[in-house]
Parts: sequence; C-alpha cells; structure tokens
Amino acid sequence: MLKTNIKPYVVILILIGIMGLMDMATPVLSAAEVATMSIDELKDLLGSDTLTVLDVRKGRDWSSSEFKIQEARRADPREFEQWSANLLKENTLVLYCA
Amino acid sequence: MAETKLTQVEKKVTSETKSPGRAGRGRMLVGAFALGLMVSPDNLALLGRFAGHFNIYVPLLLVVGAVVYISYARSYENLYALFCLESGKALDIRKVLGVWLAYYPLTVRVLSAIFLTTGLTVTSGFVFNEVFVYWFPNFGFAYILLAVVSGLHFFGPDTRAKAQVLFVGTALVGLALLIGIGIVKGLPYTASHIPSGPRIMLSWLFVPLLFFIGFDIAVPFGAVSPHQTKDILQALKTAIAVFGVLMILWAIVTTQHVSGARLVATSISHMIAAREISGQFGRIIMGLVVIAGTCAAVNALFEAVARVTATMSKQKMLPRARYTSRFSVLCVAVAAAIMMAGGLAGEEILESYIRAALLLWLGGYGLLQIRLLQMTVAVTGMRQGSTRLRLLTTAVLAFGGAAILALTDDQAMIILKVMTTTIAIALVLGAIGNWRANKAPMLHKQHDKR
Repeated sequence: MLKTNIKPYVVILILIGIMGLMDMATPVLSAAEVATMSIDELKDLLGSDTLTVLDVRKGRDWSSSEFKIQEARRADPREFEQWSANLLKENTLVLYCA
Repeated sequence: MAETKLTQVEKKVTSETKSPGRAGRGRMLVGAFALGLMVSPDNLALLGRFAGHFNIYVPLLLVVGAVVYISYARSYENLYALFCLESGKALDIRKVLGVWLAYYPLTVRVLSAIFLTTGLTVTSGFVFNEVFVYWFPNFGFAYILLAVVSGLHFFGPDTRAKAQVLFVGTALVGLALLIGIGIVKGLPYTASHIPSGPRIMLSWLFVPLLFFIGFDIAVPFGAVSPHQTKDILQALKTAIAVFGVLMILWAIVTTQHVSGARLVATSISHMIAAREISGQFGRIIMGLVVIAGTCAAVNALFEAVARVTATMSKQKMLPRARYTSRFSVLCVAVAAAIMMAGGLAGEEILESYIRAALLLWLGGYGLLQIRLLQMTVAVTGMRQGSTRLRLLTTAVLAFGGAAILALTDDQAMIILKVMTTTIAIALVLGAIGNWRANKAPMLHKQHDKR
C-alpha cells in the first residue's frame, strides 16, 4: 500500500505519464498547420523524376525506426542551407519526419 | 530509525541467501539485475554491427569478453574478503575507492541512467509504434514506459525484483525462441564484411568489453557471509555465462540470415534479423524482446542509482533521508523525461553521451581492480601472484579498452569532454566530501562504530 509521504513522488510520475498522453495530441496539432500527404499518395509518386523525398529524422528518431523510404535522402534540418541549395525547386518535395 | 529504503532489494538478496532453500531465489534476483543492462536493445544493435565486422571470430571475442567480466566478478570475492568477511562490516565506498574517487560510482551511474533511459525508452517507443500499435505515438509510449518503470521503485523491493525477473525472463525467452527458429531454418554463413581500416578493426576489437557492463548492479554493499559471497559470485558468473552463450548464438544466427555488409550498415540489425528469420512473427517476438529489454535495463539502472545513493546516504556521503533512493530514482526519471521533451533522443550527440557513460563505467571496473591490487599487495605482500596478475591484466584491459574505444570513435572529442567533465565532477564531489569528513570527524567515528 502507498504511504502518505510518497504521494508527491507518485504525482510527479503520473505527470510524466500525462506528458506521454499529451504527446498523442501534438502531431495532430502540428499536422494541421502544414500540408501533408497520405502514404497512398506518396506511393503513387514514388519512382517519379519530379519527386524528392527527404528523410529529416535525426538521432534515434531515424536509427531506431524500421520504416525507411527507399528513395529518401537523409537531410539534417540543421544543415538546411547546405542541402536545400541542391534541390530542384520545380520538384515535389516530401519531408518525412516521423 | 529513519532507515533508507534503498537497500531493500539488497536486504532481500542477502536474507534469502542465508537460507539454503531460498538461496536459489536470492541468486535469481542478483542474476536478474545483473542481466538488466545486458539485455538492452542497444546491446543487440551493437552485437549486430559487431557480428557484421568480425563474423566467424565473434564467438571467440565474446568468450574473451565474458572471461574478462567473470574476472571482474571474482574481484568482488577479493573485495568482500578484504572489507567484510572478517570485520562483518559493510563496504565503505571511501575505503574501497579512496576519498577522492568515492563519488565516481554515483556520477557514472547517474550519467548512465539519465542518458541510457532517454535513448532506450525512445527506442522502445518506436518499436511499439511500428510493430504493435501503429496509431500510438512513439514518444507517448516512451513517457508511459518511463513512468511505469520508475513507479516500480515506489512499491517496495518485491515488486521491482519480481518485475525485473519478468522483464529479463521475457527478453531471454524471446531471444532464445528466435535463436531456435533461426537455427532450425539455418542457412550457410553469408559472406563476411571485413572492416577496411586498422582504426575500425581496433575500435571494434574492444567492443566485447561493452556487452557485459552493469553485471555488478545488484552486488550488495552491505555485510555478507562467506556463504552469501559464494552465492552472489555464482549468480554473477551464471548471468555473464548465460548472456554470453545467448549472444554467441544470436550472432551466429544473425550472420546466417543477414549479410555482413547489411549488418555493418544498419542500426536495427536485431529487427532485420528477426524479420528474416520468421517474418512478422519474428518482428513481434523481437518487439517484445526490445520492450522487455528496455524495461529490464531501465529498472536495473534505477536500481543501480538507488543502491549507490542509499549506501552513500548511510555512510554520510549524501544527505541522510528516509526516501533517498526513491528521490534519486525520481530525479533520474524526471531528468530523462526532460531530455526526451527537449529532443535529445533526436540528436546524434545522445549516442556519444551514452558511449561516454558506458566507457566511464568500464573504467570504474579498472579502478576497482587497481585499488584491489594495491590492497592485496598491502595485505599479502608479494604472495598471491596469480591474483595480482589477474587484477593487473583486467585493469589494463578496462583502462586500455575504454581509452581505445573513446579515441577511435568518430565523436572522440565529445566523448572525451563528457568523460573528463564527469571525472571532474566526481573529484569535486570527492573533495567536498573529504572536506566535510575532516570537518566532522567525530560524526564519522560514531558512524563507523555503528
């Protein structure tokens, strides 16, 4: 049974759990502000010369993930100036971040 | 008496090893915590790349690594003989490591716990999202897992010890199942990918020294009897041997099903191998192994921090409080949560921090060997030549391995900076502790009498 004086600790742990639940809502809010593409839409475009897929995931976001788009090029968001200069502006650019 | 709760599992281990009938259970607890960090998904990922580099030499190199670690385990026999068995006293960290380095285990364990927890929970989040529940956010799962595992430390020693057995058991059984399927479906060895440069070869040659780090997490700091010492050592040796055998078999199965070039290039060799071995079923089993392994590693890391803070609190090296262990676990959990929220898991630098923490942990084994060597010579003179040779050899391997792994890493400068900073913090804390001890010598005399 929990003792009274460990309640503050438990509350903090619950808050960490709540952070996790809040994380579920975050992608929805972010996605509403940027143009998105469904998986099927992207599948239809794959192989096209006018498509450039950029995998902008970093660290474990990229290294722990099994899902990697074959045609995608890795691009570090912090080095935007470097890689953005080489992109064809008339192409459809797809940035894959999660 | 406001007794710290940090050593509750330790007490459980020692009390259960007192009765021969319950000794097996005590050994299982020590073994489960010893295996905690070993079964982490980071180790599986590292093993895949290692197998890609060395292929048929992997079993030999892993055996060497296991033998070195069994030797580190044996050094606890020397440690108990020197400090506990005759006097009946607990291990005094200041006497074992010296006053200046007394805070080294604390700083290294806290550093490892924060960064490894951050990385491992996020990795599990991805696996849960990609293997089990596609719509569930990976970071959401990582936070929930972190809260659940740290929550175990608020429900007493039984809960977290049983949970640890469950986590480790799940990871080992899952891995054994995949190994079994892989052997049944065995294919000829694939072509090995031989590393091109001597620098890479040298770096990977010492990687087996990283696989067994954390074997000492459940080693009691309290007073132990000769019988308990024997039980503890047996548990540690068994844990190292069992894990070593599984690693060798997994490496063989992995190289049978995935090409060396692919293993070297990927960061998720274990997932790829599981998929190649048994398709979607293999992915699910490996997913369970990764999540159970993460829980085992995080629980073990929290235990490591809790134990060292409780012991230091009892020995007046940290403020004495009833809930020192719980508070320290909470601090580490909150720090990891902040790191995740700050996006550290999405940064390459996290890997350097983790590597630095592990190398410092490895260096800690070297430090212990050197201190034991000094004390053995002081107590026995030039007798026990084999013990001296063993301690010296394993100390050189620990320091040399840590130095080579740090210097040959692509991020050597960052790793060296983190290592230097951590050692500096440990020394400053040691100096403060020394100053406090000199300021209140009477207080410590009273503590020693107790």
